[in-house]
Amino acid sequence: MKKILIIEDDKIKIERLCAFFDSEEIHINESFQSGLSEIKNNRLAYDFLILDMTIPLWEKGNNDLGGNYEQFGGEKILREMKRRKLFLPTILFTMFDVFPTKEGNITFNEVNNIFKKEFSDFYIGAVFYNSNEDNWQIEMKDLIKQIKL
Amino acid sequence: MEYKKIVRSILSNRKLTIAKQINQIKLNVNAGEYKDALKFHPLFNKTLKSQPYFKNITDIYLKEPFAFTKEFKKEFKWISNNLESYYDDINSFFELKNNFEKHLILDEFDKALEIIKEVENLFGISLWSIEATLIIEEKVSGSESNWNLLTKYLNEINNSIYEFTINTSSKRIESKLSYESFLNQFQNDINSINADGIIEDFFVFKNFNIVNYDYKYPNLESVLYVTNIFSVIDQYLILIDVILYNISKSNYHDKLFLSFIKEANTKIVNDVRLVNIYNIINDKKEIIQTKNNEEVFECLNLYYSGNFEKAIEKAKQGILNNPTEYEYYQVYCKSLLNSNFGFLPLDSSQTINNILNVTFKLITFKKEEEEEDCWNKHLKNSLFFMNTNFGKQMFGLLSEIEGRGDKNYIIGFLSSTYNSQNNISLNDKRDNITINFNPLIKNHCFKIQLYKNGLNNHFESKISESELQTVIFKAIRNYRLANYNEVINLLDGQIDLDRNPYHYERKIHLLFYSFLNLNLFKEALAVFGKIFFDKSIITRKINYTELFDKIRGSNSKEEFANAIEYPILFSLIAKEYDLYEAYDDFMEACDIFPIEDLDINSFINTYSFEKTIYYLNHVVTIDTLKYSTEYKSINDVEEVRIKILNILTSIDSDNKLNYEKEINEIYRINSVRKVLKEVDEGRLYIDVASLKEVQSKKFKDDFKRFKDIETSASSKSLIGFNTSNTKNWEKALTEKNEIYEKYNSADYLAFKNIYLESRENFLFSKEYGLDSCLSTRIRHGALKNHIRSVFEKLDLVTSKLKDNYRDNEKWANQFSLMPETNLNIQTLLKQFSKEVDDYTIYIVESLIQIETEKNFENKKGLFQYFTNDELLYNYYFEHKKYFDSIESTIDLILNHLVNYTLIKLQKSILNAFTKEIPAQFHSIIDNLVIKLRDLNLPSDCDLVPTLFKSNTEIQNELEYLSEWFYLNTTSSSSLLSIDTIISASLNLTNRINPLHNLEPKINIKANFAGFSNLIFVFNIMFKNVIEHSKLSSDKINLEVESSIDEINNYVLLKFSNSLNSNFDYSNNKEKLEIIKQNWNNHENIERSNKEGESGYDKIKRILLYEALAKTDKFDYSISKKSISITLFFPYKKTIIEDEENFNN
Repeated sequence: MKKILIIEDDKIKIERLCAFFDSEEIHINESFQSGLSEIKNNRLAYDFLILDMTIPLWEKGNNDLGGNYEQFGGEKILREMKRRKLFLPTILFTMFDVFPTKEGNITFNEVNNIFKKEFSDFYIGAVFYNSNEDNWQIEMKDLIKQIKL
Repeated sequence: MEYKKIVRSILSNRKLTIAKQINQIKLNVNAGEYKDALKFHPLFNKTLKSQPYFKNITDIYLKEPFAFTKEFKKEFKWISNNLESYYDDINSFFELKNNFEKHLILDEFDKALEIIKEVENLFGISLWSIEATLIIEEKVSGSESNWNLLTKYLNEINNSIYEFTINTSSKRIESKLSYESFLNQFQNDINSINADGIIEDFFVFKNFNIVNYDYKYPNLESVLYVTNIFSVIDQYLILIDVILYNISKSNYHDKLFLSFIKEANTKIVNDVRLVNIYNIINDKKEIIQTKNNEEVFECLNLYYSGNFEKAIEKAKQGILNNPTEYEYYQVYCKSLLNSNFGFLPLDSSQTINNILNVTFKLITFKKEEEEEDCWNKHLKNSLFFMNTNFGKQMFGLLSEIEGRGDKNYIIGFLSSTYNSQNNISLNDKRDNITINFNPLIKNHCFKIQLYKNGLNNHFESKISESELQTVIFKAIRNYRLANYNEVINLLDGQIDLDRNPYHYERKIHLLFYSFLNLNLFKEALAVFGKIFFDKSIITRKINYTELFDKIRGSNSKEEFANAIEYPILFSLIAKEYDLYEAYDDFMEACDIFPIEDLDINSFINTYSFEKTIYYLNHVVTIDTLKYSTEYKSINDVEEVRIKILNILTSIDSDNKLNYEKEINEIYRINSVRKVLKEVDEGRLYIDVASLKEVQSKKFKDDFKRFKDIETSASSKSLIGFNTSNTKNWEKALTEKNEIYEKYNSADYLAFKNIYLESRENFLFSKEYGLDSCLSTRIRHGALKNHIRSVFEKLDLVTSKLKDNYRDNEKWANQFSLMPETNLNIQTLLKQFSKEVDDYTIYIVESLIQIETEKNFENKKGLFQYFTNDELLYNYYFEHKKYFDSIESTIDLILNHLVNYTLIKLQKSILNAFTKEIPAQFHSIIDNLVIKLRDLNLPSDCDLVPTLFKSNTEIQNELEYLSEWFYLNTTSSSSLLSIDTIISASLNLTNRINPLHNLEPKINIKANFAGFSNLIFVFNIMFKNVIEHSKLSSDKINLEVESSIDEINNYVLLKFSNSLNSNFDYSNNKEKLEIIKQNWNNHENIERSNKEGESGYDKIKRILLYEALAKTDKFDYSISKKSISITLFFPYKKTIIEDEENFNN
């Protein structure tokens, strides 16, 4: 049985992931801080990480009035993992095929390529989640196969 | 000859007028064959040269520019060919122009004016002569006269191109208009005229060519094209500026310019720029020397060989003899500085001394308020002289100070009256430069220039008599040759340089970039820190971003992580997480953990007082700290920031007020957050204690009856008529009701009566009931706005105009070039808006409703309080032994209802808000995404990602909303200051109305306390402002003001806002009058549960039963343009005074 850390705040995606990994042991954190703390404290207990891109900074109720949403919170977690050398195989799991930024849009593939280069020590790849299709499950399985467990 | 065929063909077309034929020639003939082509018909040249000058202002008209070819070569040839016939005139004009500028700088305005008259007499009115006249008017009589003269010109010239240009000239030379103001005004003018690319290019270039501007036609063919409309004088002036601009950018057009420059130079000897241009673009190894060379070189040679005192004298003489040569000014000031002298004015004009003084201050690089001032003054001086060679040289100095060898620097030395040694700096782009200038390299100033540029050179004796100058020249040469280690060796230990600000500025920037080029980041950071915290010196040559970028990309941060300059540098450029990384690297390298445990004295000893203050103030901020995993909430982070601010207050008393201000702001935000949290948590509140009290009194008689029946029933069976049994009257006629006999027992029925009444009261009491609470706190706009705001702030829904949804402007703008796609998107988004709104209305009107067996028109309401005899009898049977007093009976019934609401209902509401409702929104969003994908939107469109975002955000919002339904039975309302409650209400209102942003002027002259549930009153007031003012939020002038009426014991809170004067508010006035008349009539307060009203009944109810703050007074006033509503709160005079008031 694999042990998987999921950093995700979207309830529907969480449900789908839980169903997909129903025979595995999973731990879910719904914010940047709780997820990062879990990586810092218990990284070695996990086989890999499923990471969402847009997440709140703190757990529910602990944020500022605006909600402290981190549009690229997932990327910041990857940067912290790299900076602190907290290597844990990571799969980005996102429903965005385009990421709006101040400098213009970045596509899912561009983000994936940038991350592969920037976080090559532990970044496995990205899975595009589309609620109407189950292709993501095949892509997820393929990426998991690449992880040396 | 191809052109002959073309011209013959044009001429054969009899339908074409002469002008149209010329057009065709301009468009179709090669640029090099224009001259020959135009000889084909005598009328061609006659037309082209019909009126070179405009004698009087009234004669001004727009000469025909003919077709725009969009080709630089064609436009250049067209206008330069046209000018060939006027070289002698232009030369005469230049003699006068040079004299004009000389008189201007010598403050000899009468003479200058005479020259303008002579120019106008000979060559008519031109843009040049108009600006020159305005300059003299400004100088002699001030700005008002300048404006009057401008008005006169504008009245007489009826052409917008002239008007714009003259208007800009007038502003540019206005003595009190700063450079920055001119820049802003010019930017606004350009933005507001909506000119196309050609005209805009022209306006910017003609009026403000010193700025870096992204011209639509980068070579300025557009400018040359427009220039055809002016007099020959203006055409020539603009043409030379265009040539200078192009050769400062590249050598691409050098060959094109060469024949014109060579030819013009033989005739227009008074325009020295032609010589300068020829010297750099000719590939004939030729140099034409100017008559000023000898005198200027003598001065420069003295300066560059370190003979500063003699250089001062020579420069002084140069300024007096040739006051429009700015090089003398620079040598004079630099020599003074090298001799460690202060500024010494000359016995000359005020203008000369002013320019000298500003130049001197500028190159002392002193970091004082004055420095910024002299920078701006120099900019202004340069702007004033923008259309003179002198002004262009002045701009050149600014570029040099900023370390930019850009167009202004190049145009600067190409505008000098001598063959500048700075031409050597162009050798990397033009191979011919050193060869062309070879005859001049015997001059020491040229030798130094070659040496500094890393070129081979031989000094017969010393480089310079001045050791400091020698070291700097060597360092510059080595830097140019990329010998960065040698630069560091030369400069690092040279403390003598530090004593002279002119040399120190050069030393420090050479060191900084040498360290940077060698990737010695720690050393580069140290230099950065030295400059940044140096109170005396300023350098404009260093771009910190370059160091920042390199450090950011570095993989070995441990080498410099313990340098405090690292996070300080980052704080200048980065923020939030990017700054946090630098902060955390530094903290870890210093082993300080956590920041609150900082030993401030030891920190100051290690890093200096200034750096510590800066670090704590600008790096250790909430936005940085929030990324540390040490802190679990925004409150934790704010606490730490307050500790940091307290440390800052204790060590930096000079800025105490700023730190205290930030602390107060944190407390304020914290209070607002607390109020909102309290409001959310206590949103569903039933005052059970008051209900018990009311019901105990109300049911006293019923309970007595119940007890009497119960007593009687114990001896004999008593039954009653149970209304619940007889639902099918037809059946009742024939069938016996045996099953329900126990439900007919009189004691049960007496209890049932109490229970149902009590439940009714619990649910629908206007004072304390659940429905009132649902209505005033949840259904009244709040829930709907919270849900809609998610989609509104992402620009996914629009509002309705009558029955139709408006077009979505954001996406319409994105798809303005794809009208068909836009139409499809608009249709889909309107449908989406409708589905979101319909479903939201369904939630509010159908789901957030109470249902009982008496009131079940809805059946979908989540608040289901159904009961029947079976359930109720069992309850009665189980609990009857405890019904020993009315109090205990009511207590049991109400506790049962509360527990039911808290446990069972809470669960089903939570389920609805976290499962069923999100699923429905998910389905609405998904449907739209599927339809949008069918439209094959371009990849840079972020509509679908925005919809995904809305999907997550609506889930979160619904989860947050589900917490509103936790039932509170004890009041959690705190007593808070009224401004905190208003702030919280505003925050909430703006959050749930993202398309509006209310920014009222709040004037709390009399602060007072109120219960936090007053927020619901203010929410309604602000909602009314948004909904009823009929104005966009930028036009709503909202004011909230408090005052005290001590005589009548009221605290007044007055809400005033502007109204749309085009709208008829008589209905609103009528309603307000009714509200005022009925303010003390509480009978109709049940209206408070009805949605869609303006909410004053709800306000009455909240003030009366929740905030306990209702008085007998309400007032309003309404006019065509504004409305004000005044709420009157009870004023209770304090019985405790502070010491100050007490003593008074």
